[in-house]
Amino acid sequence: MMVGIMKMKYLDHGFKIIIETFNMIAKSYIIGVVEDIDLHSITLKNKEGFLIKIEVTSENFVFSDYFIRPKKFSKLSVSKLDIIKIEKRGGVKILFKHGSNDNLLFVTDQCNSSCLMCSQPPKNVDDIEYFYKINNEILSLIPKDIEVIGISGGEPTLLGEKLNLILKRLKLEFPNTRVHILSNGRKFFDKNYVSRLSLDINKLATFGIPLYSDIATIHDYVVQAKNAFYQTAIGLHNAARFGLNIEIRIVITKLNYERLPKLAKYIFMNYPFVEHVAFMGVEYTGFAVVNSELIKVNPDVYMDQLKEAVLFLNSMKINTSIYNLPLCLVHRKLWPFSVKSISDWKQEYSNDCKLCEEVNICGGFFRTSRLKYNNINPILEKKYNE
Amino acid sequence: MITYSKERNLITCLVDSSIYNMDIIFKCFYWYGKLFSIEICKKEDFVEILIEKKEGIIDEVMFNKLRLKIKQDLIDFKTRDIVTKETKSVRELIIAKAFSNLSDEEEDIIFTSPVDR
Amino acid sequence: MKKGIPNKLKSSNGYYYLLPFRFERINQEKEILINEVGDYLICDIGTASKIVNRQIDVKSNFFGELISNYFISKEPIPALLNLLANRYRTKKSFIDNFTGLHIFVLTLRCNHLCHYCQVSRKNEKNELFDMQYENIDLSINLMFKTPSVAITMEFQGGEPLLVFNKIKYSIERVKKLNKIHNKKINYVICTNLTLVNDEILTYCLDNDILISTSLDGPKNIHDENRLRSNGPSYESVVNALNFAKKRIPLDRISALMTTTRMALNHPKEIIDSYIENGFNHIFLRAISPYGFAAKNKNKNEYETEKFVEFFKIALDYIIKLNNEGVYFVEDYTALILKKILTPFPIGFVDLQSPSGLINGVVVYNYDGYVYASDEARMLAESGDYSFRLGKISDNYNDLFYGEKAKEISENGSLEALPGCSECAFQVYCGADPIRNYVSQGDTVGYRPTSNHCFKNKSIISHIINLINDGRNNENEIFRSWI
Ligand code: SF4
Ligand code: SF4
Repeated sequence: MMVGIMKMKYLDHGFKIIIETFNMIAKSYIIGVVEDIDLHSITLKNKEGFLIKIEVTSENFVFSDYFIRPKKFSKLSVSKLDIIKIEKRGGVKILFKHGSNDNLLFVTDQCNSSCLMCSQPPKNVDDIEYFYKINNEILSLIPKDIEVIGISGGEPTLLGEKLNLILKRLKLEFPNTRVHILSNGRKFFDKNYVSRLSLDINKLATFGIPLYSDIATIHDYVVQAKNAFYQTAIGLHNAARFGLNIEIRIVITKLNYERLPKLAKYIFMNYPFVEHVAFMGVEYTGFAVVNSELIKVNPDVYMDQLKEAVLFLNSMKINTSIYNLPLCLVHRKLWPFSVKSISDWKQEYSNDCKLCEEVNICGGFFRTSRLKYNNINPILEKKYNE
Repeated sequence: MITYSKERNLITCLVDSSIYNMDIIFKCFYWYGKLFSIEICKKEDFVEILIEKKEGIIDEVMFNKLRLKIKQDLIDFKTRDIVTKETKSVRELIIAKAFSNLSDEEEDIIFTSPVDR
Repeated sequence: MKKGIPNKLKSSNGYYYLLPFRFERINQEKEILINEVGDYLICDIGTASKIVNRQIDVKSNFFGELISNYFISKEPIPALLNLLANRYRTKKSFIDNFTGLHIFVLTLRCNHLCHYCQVSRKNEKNELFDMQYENIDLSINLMFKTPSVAITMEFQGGEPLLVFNKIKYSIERVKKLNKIHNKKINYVICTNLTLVNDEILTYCLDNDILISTSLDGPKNIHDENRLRSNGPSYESVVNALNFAKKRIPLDRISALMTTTRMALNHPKEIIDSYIENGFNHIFLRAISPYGFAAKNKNKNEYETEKFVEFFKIALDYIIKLNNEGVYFVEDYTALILKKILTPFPIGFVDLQSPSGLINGVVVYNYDGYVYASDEARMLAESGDYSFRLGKISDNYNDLFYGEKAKEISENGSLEALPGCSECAFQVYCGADPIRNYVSQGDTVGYRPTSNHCFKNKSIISHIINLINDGRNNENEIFRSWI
């Protein structure tokens, strides 16, 4: 086994980083599994089996989540067996968190829609090749028995053939892993595309596809794309025809909350084959902040409609969940559908939550959300079974 | 125009045939056949419908009710007629599409209830 | 477009095209619009006419709703045509399950004398009225020829338990042959239960056979209806029921009731007696116009109107019970609800179009002939062989695709029948050419005086009104039934 050493030196002012290592010169980053770690050094094993030790030579800097940072900001959450990427300039990014069910392959920043509440606004950059390489490295490094892995972007279907290659690889090397792909489903409009996809995909894979309204113009407006509704609608049927598993994802905004019960009925009548329907609160970052005037609505305003929609789908035996809403803002009848959905690294609780009896089953809110709910109301008596 | 003759126990209905075609008239008065015997005669540019009660007599109250009902029914059946005729070909298309033979690798999509899964 | 700043998407011009739909007034203020696949919208009266006269505001949500629910389209060939075709195929997919229900009448003999009996039963001892073994074998062969993967083999009578040995013979034979055919087979025995014993029940339990019996309500009604040749039968049925319940799970036993003139005044008592006997559902059936029932006009001729009244009171009472926490289902309502509230088809022959005759059900009769339905063989008992498809020994194609079969199917589609073709409830209703023939003299029938039409129209619009009103949790309760 070969061992390489990389030394990172810092100038005290700013973040200029000099990297000295024999095989880092050609590449702009290193990806590997964390074998050993402390505040000043980290040992990675890359996909060829090389061990690379990285040391921070300046006393004032340490490793942290995103970047090698001045000591006082440090909050180290990288741990053994995680897969991380270290960039030339010293950026550290966790690509795969060991033991978490939230891992995903990020495939592109590009998208063919531009949803008003997108938390991760699309970028028009040619990044497919770049992420494809990284994701393949990740796939070489992660354990073959992981339970679930996500694929997200951007819009994964923009990858074309490369998405098929990733899916094929997952199917072959990870036959028991549940693959969860977030797509707007518009590409599924093309029957031949779906047909090919269905051959490359593992039986446990699910596509999470958004449908924001039963009315075409509302859906199109929310995703800012004409004919998106028709494409997705036909896409959903094509997906069903070729046996793909489907989850419908509904982000609740001011634009669509009034018709949630009608949307629920529409989904049941037209897409009764879906495996799961998820109603989701907004994460106020990205476009959601820019467009907050247009989309922002407090959960108490739409709770009646949400209740009707969720209970309807449930009574029609469609699996239904609510994501991203603090429990105290959700009607008690809907608690059984509330899921702790916010990734642990994005999750946050308020000061009031310390008093709350249900803090353990509540998912809290997005640390990344720029607009906070103003009516958090700690639950002081347990009444879950009421 | 709908008139009523007490002596003859008969309602006469004159319908403008440029507004209501024979299909509409037949379909509309079909439903009156339980209680009434109906006679339909085509005249120059209108159609005359004679409505006679099979048993008992038609009184003023019944006539007034019937008059309103006939007017309403004619409009409803005209609306139905428009839908039937305008949608004839698209209806055939839907059925053809629903039962067309698909190529081998394609499976017909037929939903099953989540309860049966 | 500037990043993240929303674009108003251009809306198209105002013209739109109609898609097939039908409508009907349901009360003083509302009308219901129902499309080709059974999706409905309840709107103010006059809405259909507004739609047709192109008076719907294209910018309104209602316009969008009409499009998503396939009432109109912006293009001459709708963008969502594929979806609509898939929905249509699903609704009609019962056709693919060609002949799912196979009724075996192994004997016509019976030990009861019910005054409304639909088959003119014969004396208990006369074995001339049993099916020959040879014909049992041939019938089973025919049954296996059906393309459906899931089939129900139902033993009727007379009283089939009088020939339990032949039931056993048939099932054993089917089990063996099914090793090649691999069909999913459900067995049902329709019996008055008075002859059940340990051996029979053990056999039913071991073979997962469903027992279907008759219970017409409390003692006074049941006994009035079902005079046993040697004594009253309510006790014997209830005793037998209790005996059976100890041995097989209650969900393997179901009961059918027939509404007679006497029953019409006692809806609550009948339902209570079902609950008392441990059932959580009831099928409120109007008496049918066949066999003895047709002859016994005096006693049983009652207005369908009265039945509808009875049905409404019973349904109200059942809803009240559900609200009090008793889960209890009216099966006919549940079937109609499944047609109204879900995109799925139902496998109930009376509510299908094309009609369930032959393509849903077929009868192998003790007399060696195949009939289009249970009703068809009852008609034969009174000397009318119009719906006899042929001999059990005939060839499958001649029987199931022959002249007789064609003749029956010709008038078996509501879509093409006068009165029905533009009826809003068509998608929720069913065609029954044999019933038309029996009650009105020909297979086309005449809707204005048809009891079948009156009954279905009244019941369907009553259910729709309950859904629309919903003030007693009807919607929640109804959803729990389907
Ligand atoms: S108070 Fe905090 S922990 Fe409790 S339900 Fe609300 S958000 Fe969740
Ligand atoms: S039988 Fe009557 S209710 Fe049924 S479809 Fe025909 S007209 Fe309508």
